[in-house]
Amino acid sequence: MDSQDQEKQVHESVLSAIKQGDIKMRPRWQFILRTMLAVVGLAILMLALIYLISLILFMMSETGAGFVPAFGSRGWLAFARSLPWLMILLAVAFIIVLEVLVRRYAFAYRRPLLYSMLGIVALSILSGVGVAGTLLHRRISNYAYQHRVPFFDQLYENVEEQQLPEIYPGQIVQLMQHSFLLEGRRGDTVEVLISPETMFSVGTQFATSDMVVVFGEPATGTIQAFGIRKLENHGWSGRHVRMMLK
Amino acid sequence: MPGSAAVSSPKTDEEIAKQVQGGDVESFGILVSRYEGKMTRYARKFLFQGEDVKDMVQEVFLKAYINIQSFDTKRRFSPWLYRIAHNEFINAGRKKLSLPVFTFDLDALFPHLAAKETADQDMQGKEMRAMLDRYLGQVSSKYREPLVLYYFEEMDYREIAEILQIPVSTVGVRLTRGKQILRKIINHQNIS
Repeated sequence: MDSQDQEKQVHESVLSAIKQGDIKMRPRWQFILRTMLAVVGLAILMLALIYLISLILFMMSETGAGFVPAFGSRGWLAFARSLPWLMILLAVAFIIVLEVLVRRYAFAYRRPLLYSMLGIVALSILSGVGVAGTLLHRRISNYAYQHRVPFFDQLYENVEEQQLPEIYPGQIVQLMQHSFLLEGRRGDTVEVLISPETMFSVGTQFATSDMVVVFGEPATGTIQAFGIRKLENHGWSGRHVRMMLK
Repeated sequence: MPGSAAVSSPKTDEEIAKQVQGGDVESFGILVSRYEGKMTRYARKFLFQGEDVKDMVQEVFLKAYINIQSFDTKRRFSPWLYRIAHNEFINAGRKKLSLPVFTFDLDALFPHLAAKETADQDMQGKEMRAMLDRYLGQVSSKYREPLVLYYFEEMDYREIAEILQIPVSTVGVRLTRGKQILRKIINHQNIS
């Protein structure tokens, strides 16, 4: 079959398929609807990613893990061990899915992949930091407790129940000469021993009711502190509020 | 104007596409006539042969008709049609020519300086077309397609970028590398 015959066949079969109604033109509204759904899907995915990142930051703040890198290499090691890796991997997966979806649009594929990837990462982290700075997670945590919201209750309960090795956030309830009593988030108290090697910011004065994060080695009923970080304007969420409500 | 012969210029692809969108099915035949030769050549350069080419080209036009309402008539028709053909040929190629299902493209990851064609472009173009005709099958699909679109379909960088959905600078990189690969193949053939 020569080329002209083949072309004639293609032309005829395409037009006859159209005329006989074997194929139908998709209406414009379907494309508009599909675009709108894609935009909504992208927005939901982006919001989920921002929520996830802010939750990771909230967790790091609540468990005290976010404060320990200030205590040198040992602090960094404890920080790396304490990171919620599963959630971080989930966030990375979200970023990859978002990148794949965004690449279908001209504003993304016209530029190198690195730009859109960095754009998504920067936007989600900055927004995540912004959301983590609000009272959103504290409110959800308290609301989840009071109203017993499925999943959220469990999720925020886990954040509060989590006790990381060597990291103890809490409130000073009694000061002694070379130690203080720390009340943890579960309401338990433990004596924190301060030695000349204990690191804290120069000029820090501790007082009862201060919120602190203690980084140290536990022994029976005591913690030998490697470092203490005083927390300014750091409220309680979840458990403490629950205790007060009781 | 009285006394002068009115010369009506043929309608553009975009004007015809608009008529098709408005329900003028017959006008779609004009688009098929204008592009079936190009689509057949494009399919052949994808290394499809015989009946496969006919089926593939037919499928491209049917998909174009089904989706014609998604075409923005303010933009050019040909890159839109070539994009449909690209998707169709890639999907068929995965089944029939064992093209990889997923490829991670480092070329599109980082920014590149846009490469420009040199002054002796025309001569190079003729030479390249002749060389491509002979050795196209030995160039990997990643570099083959930009070469085909540039030298045979006479698309510019921006149009190729739209069809392949990659940055314009990446088109330049692929064309340059594609030509280097082609030269290597030719040198190798000459030596042996």
